[in-house]
Amino acid sequence: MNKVRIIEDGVTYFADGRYEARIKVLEVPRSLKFPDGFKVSCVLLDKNSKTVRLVLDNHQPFGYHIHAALPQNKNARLQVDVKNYAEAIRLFFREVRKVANEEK
Amino acid sequence: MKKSNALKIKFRSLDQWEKELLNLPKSKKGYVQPKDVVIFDSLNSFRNFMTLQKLELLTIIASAKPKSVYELSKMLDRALGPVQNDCNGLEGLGFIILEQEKSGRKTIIPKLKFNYDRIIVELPDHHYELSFKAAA
Repeated sequence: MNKVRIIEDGVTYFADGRYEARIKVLEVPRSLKFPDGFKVSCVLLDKNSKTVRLVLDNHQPFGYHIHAALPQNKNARLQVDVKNYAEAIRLFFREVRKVANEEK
Repeated sequence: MKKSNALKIKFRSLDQWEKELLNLPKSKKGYVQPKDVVIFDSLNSFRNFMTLQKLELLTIIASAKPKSVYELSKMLDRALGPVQNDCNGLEGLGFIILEQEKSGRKTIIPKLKFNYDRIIVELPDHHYELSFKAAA
């Protein structure tokens, strides 16, 4: 049986509650759509302006990619050199820290 | 005995969360954040967010159950604009909901997200509670 397991489904607020980082990771059967067996969705929200600042996710035909031109352009996907779940997580946190440091 | 409900504030730094996530696939259990838990990256973030005015606002919503943001501002003896801003902030982080009346004037009613009577702040080394009863 093809089993889907929730690895993580959590939210953390930072920069005095201004930003919300929301991460959902599912372990899914390896397939063409999810070659490394993970479905990842990482979202960074600006609670002040109620806008999505950054989305990193993975699905066919793009693989891991970033929606970096949010909120203006939802379809602007930036292909990233990420091969697996761990690299995707590291990249997302790197981008989140950039935003957090901009606030300081 | 009446069951006591608590909203829990927990902390994990971005570094700590990243580390946990990188280790998670190897562990057996995943983590689904319960609805009664709000996580901040640091105590400073929480303290800067949860001002005394916001805490007072939560206390009034819990105890007096105002029927509108306007009524809430009257109870707090504060201007409507800043109270509305505080309500929006608390709603954004899941402390309250702003429910619109279905009929009539479609007033926005501030309510606790769920029926909690305490906020428990769970620090790594300490533990303290903010009780609405004590604050009222």
